[in-house]
Amino acid sequence: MLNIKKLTALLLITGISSGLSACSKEAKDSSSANKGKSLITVDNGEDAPTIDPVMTQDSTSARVLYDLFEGLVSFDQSNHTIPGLAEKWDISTDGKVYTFHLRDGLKFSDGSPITADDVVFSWQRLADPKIASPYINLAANIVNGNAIKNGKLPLSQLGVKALDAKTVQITLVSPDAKFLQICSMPNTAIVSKANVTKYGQTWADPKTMVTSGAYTVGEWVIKGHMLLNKNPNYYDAKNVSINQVNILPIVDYNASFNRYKTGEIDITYSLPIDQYKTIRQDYPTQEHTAKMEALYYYDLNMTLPKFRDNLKLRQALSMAVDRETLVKDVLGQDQVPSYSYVTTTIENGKFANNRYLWASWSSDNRINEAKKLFKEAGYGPSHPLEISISYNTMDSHKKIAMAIASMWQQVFGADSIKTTAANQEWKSFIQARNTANYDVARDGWTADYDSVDAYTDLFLCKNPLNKSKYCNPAYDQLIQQAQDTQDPEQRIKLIQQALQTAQSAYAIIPLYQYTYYRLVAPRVGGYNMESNHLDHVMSKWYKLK
Amino acid sequence: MLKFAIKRILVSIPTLLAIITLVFFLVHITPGNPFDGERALSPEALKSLMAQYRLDLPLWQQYLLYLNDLIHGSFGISMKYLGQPINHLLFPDNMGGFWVTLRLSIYTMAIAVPFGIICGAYAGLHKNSWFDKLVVSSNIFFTAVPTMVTGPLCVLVFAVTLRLLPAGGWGDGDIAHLFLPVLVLILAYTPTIAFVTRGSIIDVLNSNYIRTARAKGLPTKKILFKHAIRPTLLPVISLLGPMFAGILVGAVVTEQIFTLPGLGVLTTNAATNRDYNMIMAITILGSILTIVFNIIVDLLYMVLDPKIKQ
Repeated sequence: MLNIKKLTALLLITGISSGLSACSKEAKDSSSANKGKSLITVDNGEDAPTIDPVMTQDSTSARVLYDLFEGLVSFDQSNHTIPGLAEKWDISTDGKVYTFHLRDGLKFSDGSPITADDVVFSWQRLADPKIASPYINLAANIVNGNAIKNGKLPLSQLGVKALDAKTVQITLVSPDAKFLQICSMPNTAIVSKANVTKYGQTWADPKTMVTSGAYTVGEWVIKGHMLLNKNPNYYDAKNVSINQVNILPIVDYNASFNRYKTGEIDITYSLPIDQYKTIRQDYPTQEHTAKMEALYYYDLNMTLPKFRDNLKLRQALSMAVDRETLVKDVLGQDQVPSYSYVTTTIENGKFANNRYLWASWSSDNRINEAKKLFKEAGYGPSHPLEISISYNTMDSHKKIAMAIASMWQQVFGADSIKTTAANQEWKSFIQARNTANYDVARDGWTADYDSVDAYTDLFLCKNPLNKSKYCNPAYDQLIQQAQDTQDPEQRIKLIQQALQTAQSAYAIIPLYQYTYYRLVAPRVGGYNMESNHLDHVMSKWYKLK
Repeated sequence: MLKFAIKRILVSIPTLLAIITLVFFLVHITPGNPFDGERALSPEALKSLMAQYRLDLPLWQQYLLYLNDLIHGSFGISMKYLGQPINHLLFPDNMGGFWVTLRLSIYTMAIAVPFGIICGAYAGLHKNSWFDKLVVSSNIFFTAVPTMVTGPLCVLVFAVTLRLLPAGGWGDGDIAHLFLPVLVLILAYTPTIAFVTRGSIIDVLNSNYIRTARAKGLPTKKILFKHAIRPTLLPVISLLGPMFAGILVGAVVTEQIFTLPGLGVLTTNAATNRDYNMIMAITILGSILTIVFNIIVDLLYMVLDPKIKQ
């Protein structure tokens, strides 16, 4: 409707203003506006769609919620789990029973005590089908979680029990190596039973909301700012050094960059993509790039006979893509070329070697093999392949689609493959991809936790997130076995085996691992991005230099 | 005149209803729904959300329920900011939404209108002078160079390089934060007002009755302020109504450049997120504003031009 015009306008702004700001090389000491105050201003890219922990499903809300609420378990800047509201826990030998011991004297922001009852209540909210948490499945592995989800049992039957005021026991259906990480996710954070019960549906109103984390919400103007105040009742308040954090929702990358330059923002969220190199040069000590726990890939639609019945074609298409060129020349933000269904950083690089063999081949060998496979797949000048690449409207997706189309044409010959680009607006695209209404579709996945399950689950037959619709019961079985085993070595072996099975089916074309880059003002200390691949951030880490 | 106003308001109700109906159905038949996301929701969660927002009902039923909400003064609940009432997002207690845009438009118009009219009149009276040429060329210039250029340029000069003003944000709605966005809007709207005024005054001064007045030997001052001013303002006023409504719902670009929490940003967000209730609310708000301003313009017409009364 009114939007074609406005979108063009926005694109133009981005283009023009990036051109303009490229002319101004400023590497002066920024953040003059905030100097001296115990207040840090952070861009979060957008407004949090929700600040109710169980309703969160996006990183924007999560960024705020890590400050407002804490779970039984917390995490450090290298994504390792550390004690949260629980100071310690015991795990039974079969890996199914977790007993959490809460810290002494825990209090909510209103001064009321945090008890095991609140913990039970918080987990019951997650499992409650009436509340409809998008992450309700996190509770599915807890005893009776599934039955409660389907409305067959009451909430009180959930396998989360208060043994006494300070002890909580959670019983799982099957052991889960990532369960402690789940206990550190915003969805399982602890809310005040009294507060939520009192205000019901509107409890997440900043004015009345009671929190369990290091901060509380002082003020929230949608599209304006969210001001967080330090929570004096937080158990670790003495180590929280920043009194106020102002979180901004700046959508426009250039606007964010400008406001950083004038010192109005201390930490940016996203920066203009095309200025990566200049910004790196101009702000050598303030610019930080980190590998992100996220993968960019193409789905091949396995419900279409042309892909489903032709492994050689799928392999040829994957092999023909020159990922090094894509990353270096098309994207250029130090992304990592990907030859695997998982990233090289997940679980401290345990699966980094799980790459396609041809990843280390010379370019000529790789291309020759791809050509051979393409021919064997039955395609050539006399029988050209027609293929359409679907992506949602965004410059970077378009660039990548064009680059890949031209790589395919170069390798297989322009008369042997005809590619069209099907560019769709976001919501239409999502719908088309979810219903397998595409040939080849752009896809991406950001891990919620530092566990390989974040990626391997994507290829399970029944997972709605499995967009390529690849389904191999043997794969599902291996993943199940890996989950059931108590032996960590065995688990890794089984997962590697599963990955080999899935990867050799070539249902997706892995392209690269994302990176993210930010500017951090010189006055801000205590924030280390480089090892934080999940980009889970808490303001309590910040210090003023 | 009151009778006329009431008549106009009554006539605009079916127009508004037609707009609501059309947009309601258009929005709902657009592919994709508010809850589609990168991570598809589980069927149970989706079902529950659809029920909460009544999206599981037949479309006609949703439509009737929506009209019922409207009659009770509610725009419904946002589908993007889960659980937040639209009324609260558009008209928050603290500064934000409509209030930001309203303040922005009032400041802009308060400066742009008198300034534009004076410049235009002066240019028209001194046709072909250097000032007249300046007015004409600046109109062409600022039509060709829109806010998406002047905005970042102003930020670059005044905020980033000279460090005189903040690069964006609302602050407490203080002058420093408002200066650049208002300046950019003034630059965008003043030349048009001046240009229209100029054209109008030239037309009026060439008309027969002014010539007659001159021939009768009336002093120029009297001719201008007594006889020329009213007809000169007619086309300017018909321009101002839609212009004011336009800034109120359409300062998207300016709000984006200066990261202001106004209506414009909510509009683009609503459309891309399929926040049905928000799209509807903004459309209705925009329509009402346009209708109201048009009525005001017509009333002013009646004051300025007795011919229209008949």
